[in-house]
Amino acid sequence: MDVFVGSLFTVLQWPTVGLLLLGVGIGFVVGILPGLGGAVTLALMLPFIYGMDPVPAFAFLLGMHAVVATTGDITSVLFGIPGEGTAVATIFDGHPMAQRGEAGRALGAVLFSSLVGAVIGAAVLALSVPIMRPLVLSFGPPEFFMLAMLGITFVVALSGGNLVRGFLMAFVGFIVAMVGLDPFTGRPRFAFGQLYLWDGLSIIPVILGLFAIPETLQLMSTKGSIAQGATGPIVRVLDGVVDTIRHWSVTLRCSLIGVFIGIIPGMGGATAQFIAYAHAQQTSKTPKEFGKGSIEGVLAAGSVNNSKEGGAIIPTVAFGVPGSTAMAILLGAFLILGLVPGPDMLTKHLDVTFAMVWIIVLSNFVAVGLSFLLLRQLVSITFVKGSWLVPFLLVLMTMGAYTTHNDVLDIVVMLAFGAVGWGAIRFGWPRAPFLLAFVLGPTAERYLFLSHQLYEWGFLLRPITLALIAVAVLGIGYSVRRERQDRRAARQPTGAAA
Amino acid sequence: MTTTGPPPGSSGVGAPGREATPPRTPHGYTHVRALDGRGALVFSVAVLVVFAYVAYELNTSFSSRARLFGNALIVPALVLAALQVVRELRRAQPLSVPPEAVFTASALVWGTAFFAALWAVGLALTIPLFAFVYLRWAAGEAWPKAGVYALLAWLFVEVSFVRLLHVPLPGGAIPLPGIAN
Repeated sequence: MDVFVGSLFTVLQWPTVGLLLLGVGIGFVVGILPGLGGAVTLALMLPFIYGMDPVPAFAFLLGMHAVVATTGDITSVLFGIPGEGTAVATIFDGHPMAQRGEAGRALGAVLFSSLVGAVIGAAVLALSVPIMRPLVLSFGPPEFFMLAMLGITFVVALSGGNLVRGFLMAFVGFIVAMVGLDPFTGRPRFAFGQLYLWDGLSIIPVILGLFAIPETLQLMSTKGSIAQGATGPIVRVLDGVVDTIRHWSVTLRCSLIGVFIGIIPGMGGATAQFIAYAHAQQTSKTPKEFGKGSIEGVLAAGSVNNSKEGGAIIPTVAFGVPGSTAMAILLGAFLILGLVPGPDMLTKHLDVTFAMVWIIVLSNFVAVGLSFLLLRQLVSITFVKGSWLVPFLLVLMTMGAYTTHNDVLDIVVMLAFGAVGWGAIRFGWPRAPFLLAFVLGPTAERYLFLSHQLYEWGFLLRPITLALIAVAVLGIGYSVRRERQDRRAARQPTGAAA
Repeated sequence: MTTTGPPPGSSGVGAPGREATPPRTPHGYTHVRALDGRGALVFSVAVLVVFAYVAYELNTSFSSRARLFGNALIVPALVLAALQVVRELRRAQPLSVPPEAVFTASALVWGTAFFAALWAVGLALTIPLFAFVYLRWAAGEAWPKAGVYALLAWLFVEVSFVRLLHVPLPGGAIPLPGIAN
């Protein structure tokens, strides 16, 4: 308890609180502007944490990430255009409400339910620590190795798309992670005689190339701003707050759905919002109003948006297994800061884990408070043209990559992975499995080596390892079945037409 | 959303009527779809070749310790990569390009121009130059607006990176006297 309270004071110290506010400010703008994703911005900001202590660094990064989904809802309600992929479900009822002159009420509801969701997610994260600690401490190298494999399997299997291409991208990620000096023999692997590659490929140029370059090109391809003329008056915002309290049960249930889906690697926010929305519709007394401007629909979408973040941090911190692209980038931040996710985060660095809980809560309070105060001014950000951001993003990308080693080759690596990222998007190969495998590669290799040293291949027959293999096989089986169903469904209309 | 990709240089938003009757010009939809089909095959073959090279290197150059992790992965990787190549070869329909993957030719040209200028003259000069030229001609902004933005962009880099963070800017291949390369 002392650590829990103490970590609050750590977050409130200067410069940590200043960095939190800066992160919230950036997250605000990123959330509102479509075309600039939260994960990409997280990647762009990663180079700035070099030299920082863990808590200020997470205040900056997590403070930014925690509010992106909150402000992403604003454009969903006002323009029917989601600022973030996780704010799509907000359109279903938020935008019809805005069209019938209830924009203020919809915004009040979605913002306040987002805040409630964030607090519930953070509370579950804090409460999970005493439960996760004995579990994590009982795990050995074989279990951690299988957990890493399970995390990647889930991300490939559950995040949609093609299973084979997903696994292939994961294998490419693992191989790219092998570049550099072999940790056990000190011999260079896949270095092609380049001294630069002896240290391996740094996470920042790789992430920036994979994610930031394709998104910037996309922004250059679509030049306009999202705002289409003036918005109506934004009034009766507090009515939305009252609605959230009146429908507390929907808000609570959908927040908890978000937390538990967040824990499962690969499910992610895009899935969570639709599951919560469907649940709210099924349990509503007025299901026919959904899609036409139901306040319950708005609350479901709002509350799930932020609660999932608390859930997603649990496997990242406790097992070092990130469940989404953003969490994989956050795991990259752990490595930059010299922290090893896993048992240490629940014992030696417990203060950092609890600080993350407070950062999620505080950043959402600040974001929602400012949103209520500056709603009208925030809307004006939507008039910023995409082309105005392009030179700024190119500077951040270039400097972000370059500052890794102050070496031009870092920019070359970024461009090379930019080409990979472009090809992956163009030909339908998912990028998240690559990133997860690249981040988890060194850890997985270490655990495999230790497991093999301790038990030979018999480590695969340990009870927990076997259980994890069974879960992975079930995940793959589920995905294969879904792919077949999708293919059958896609063939049916063609057959009917013929 | 549209299931076919527009040709490079188009707006990226396909009109519904276009899908029904794709133009058969050298730069029309038919051509782009065929190119994407070949590109997808080339991408898959490239992955297979990389895996084959990795398998060869692992088993000829590395000690048993250094290749343990790689060998655990490479067999399923090769099998799946071969399967993907076969799938691409047997693909009956041309590949559909998702809307987020449609980059206009001008975006690619401007992106290339930025990095070419960076290589030639370094970041200190590229930033104001690119910001001005891009906003003036690609975004169609007025001269004063583009000029002020270029100046602010240069100030941002100079103040934040050079003065505050003391980060050296990447220099260019062409030495320019008076420019901090």
